[in-house]
Amino acid sequence: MTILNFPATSNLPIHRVSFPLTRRATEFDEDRLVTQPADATLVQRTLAGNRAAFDVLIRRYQRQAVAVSYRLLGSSQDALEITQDAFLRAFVNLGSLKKPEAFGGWLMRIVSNLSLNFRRGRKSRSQLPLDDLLASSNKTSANGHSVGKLAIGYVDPAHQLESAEMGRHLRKALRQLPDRQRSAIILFAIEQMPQRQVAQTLGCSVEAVKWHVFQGRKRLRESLKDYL
Amino acid sequence: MLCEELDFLLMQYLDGSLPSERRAAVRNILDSHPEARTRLRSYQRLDDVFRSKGPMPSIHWEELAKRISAAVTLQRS
Repeated sequence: MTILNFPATSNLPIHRVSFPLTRRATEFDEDRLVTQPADATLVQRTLAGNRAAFDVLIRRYQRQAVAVSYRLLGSSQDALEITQDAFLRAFVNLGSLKKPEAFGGWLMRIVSNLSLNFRRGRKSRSQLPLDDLLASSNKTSANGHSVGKLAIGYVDPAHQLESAEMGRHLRKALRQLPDRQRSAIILFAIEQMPQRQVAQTLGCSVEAVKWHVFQGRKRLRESLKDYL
Repeated sequence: MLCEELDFLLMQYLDGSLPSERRAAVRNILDSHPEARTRLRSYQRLDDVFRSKGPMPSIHWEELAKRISAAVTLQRS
């Protein structure tokens, strides 16, 4: 094992300290701000028979669900179907959700599990075809990955090409990771979800999330070293 | 300090999940050890890749919400 000559000071305990969670801004925060009320209220209203309340949850979380599934599967069509299936399962099983305020993490857990099961070949089809929802500007690359346009504003074509190229390398490297590490990296480092929500999603502790992210980053740094 | 320990510490420093006194300790290490700075930069570049993360598909979100809602209604009935 490689050892570097750094001071192993006693005031730097590595494993025993509880760290304050940092809440990182995500693209989904804006949606949350403008679409009150809170998740817990919407869950309770849905359970009381208010169907429109669940529609708010759909709009609030569909982007995150598609993004997570897309990162796990590398296919936009599959991600759309997984997202629809996940919301269906969430709706059917909503009564079993013990902490309504944790709806987001719970839903992402369903999305992650469905996506990983899908990868393992246990695919279950959704009820409605969704491929027409992909914007017409999407193109499919030679290796089968969808490479839709970037979302906002003008993008330098060279940068776009570089980004797509790096995206391919990243997807390939991610595929080499064990499921737990891949999911942790996608949820925390790529989709910028808070560690606590990642822990809820993966059904593990925050400390375990840190460890999976740590191990995943180490492997990815090695896999991508020629491009960093 | 083992590479593994240092890397774990650097990643938490990068994520902003270290308390202030531990951040200060990491800064001291970074100030005095070029190799630690190199390792930190490599993880920063990796995070840049994560943030660029390749393009997402363009999706008609409003229509997707309607489809999912319709599927839920179908399921309900």
